[in-house]
Amino acid sequence: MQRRYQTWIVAATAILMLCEQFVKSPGLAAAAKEVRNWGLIVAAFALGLGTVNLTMIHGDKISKKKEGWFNSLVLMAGLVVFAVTGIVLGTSHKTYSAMYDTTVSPMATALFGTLIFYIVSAGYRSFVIRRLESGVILASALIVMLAQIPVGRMISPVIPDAATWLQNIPNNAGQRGLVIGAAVGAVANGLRVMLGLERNFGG
Amino acid sequence: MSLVADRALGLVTLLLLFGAMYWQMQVAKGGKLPTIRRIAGLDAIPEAVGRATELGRPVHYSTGIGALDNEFGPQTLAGLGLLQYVSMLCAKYDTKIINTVCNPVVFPLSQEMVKSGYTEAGRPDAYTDDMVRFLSSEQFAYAGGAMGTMQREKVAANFMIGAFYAEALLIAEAGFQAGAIQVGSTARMYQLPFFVIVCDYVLIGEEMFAASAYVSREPDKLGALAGQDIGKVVSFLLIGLGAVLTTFKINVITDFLTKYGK
Repeated sequence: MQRRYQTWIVAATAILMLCEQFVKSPGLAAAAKEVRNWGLIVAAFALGLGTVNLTMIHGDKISKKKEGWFNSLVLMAGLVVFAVTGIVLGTSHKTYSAMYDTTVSPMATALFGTLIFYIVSAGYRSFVIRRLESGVILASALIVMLAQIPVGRMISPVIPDAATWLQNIPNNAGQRGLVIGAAVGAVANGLRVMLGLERNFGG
Repeated sequence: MSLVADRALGLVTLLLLFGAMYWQMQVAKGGKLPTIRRIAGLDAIPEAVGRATELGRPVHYSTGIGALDNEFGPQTLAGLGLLQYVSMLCAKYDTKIINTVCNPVVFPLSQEMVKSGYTEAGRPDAYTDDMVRFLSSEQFAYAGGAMGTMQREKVAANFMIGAFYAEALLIAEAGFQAGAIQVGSTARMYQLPFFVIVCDYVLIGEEMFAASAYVSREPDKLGALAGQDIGKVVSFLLIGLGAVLTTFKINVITDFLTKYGK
């Protein structure tokens, strides 16, 4: 019975949001706006649930002094300090911004910076010629990379043109085929959720 | 109340797709099941969970950092669908699953999917709260947390199915370094090449949306999949026809799409 109600609620909400896209009506627009606001409230509660989960897992690690408990302690301290500062001073206060800009932001940027090493490591493995397909990938990648640097044109003036052709014709054709297939798949997936065939939202 | 004129074609396309899916669902329910090609990435899932069981190490699952309320929502939903299947396999084989979550809205849904996977396998009591872990809603904090979890817990299988951004390669490389068998899937074009390079198996684009029908083999879902294929065939026919007509400077299709197809 509960499942049936869930399916009806999802179907009704989806039909409302779809109608708002295709029909001009102040009533529909107001109803859709209301549903979006409910979504924001649900998201706020979900964030609270996530924080409870985080506290439970790391609290358990700290209390039982499991391996890496000190890292969990730092995480919990950060959580408390940011939450208290945000609640007391507000998230737009300069102290809060300074805390964010001097800790979270540089750490995220540093992690993003490490991506280059991972790309090199993954690229090295994929460029090892094991079969014909790997050879084609290596040859295409070499042409495209050489075209990005002045020495490419010095080796042969054909290289930049070949790189442009590779990117505009075979690469574009493959990408568009995938995008169209994925887009139709996504719409069909949405319809299946509306019909209650997919129950990825309620177990 | 009136119809938005420049979106009329979108509405018609949606209704036609809906009609094709409904028709094919009825055909499938009537006993004529559509054939579905083998998808190596989906066939590899039980093998990967089995390997983790043999090694006595856990399985890691990520649905990415995509939200549910934007264009990447269907990818996250597809990831959640497979999460239930992988959880069911883990429960059956008595292997621990660790599902790391980035988006807070996805978190309660992930818990539900893992719980229902364990229930479906007849082992609801084996589910524990630390299986689904909310790490952070910040992209790189999540990536760092997922990488650390995989390294510390020495996962033997890593599933990454959903909408992924720049963190895709970071997490997949951490999985590779942990020696995990990896299955990746996304419909985001920028991340797909990274998955192809790093993962052992990849579900490319639409294959992730077919996963639910593929693993369940339910007539309704298989029928809906066949209906979706009709939509794709029509799209490709229109592209072919449009290309030919435009080559001969007949712009009927492009003018029509420009006017009604916003």
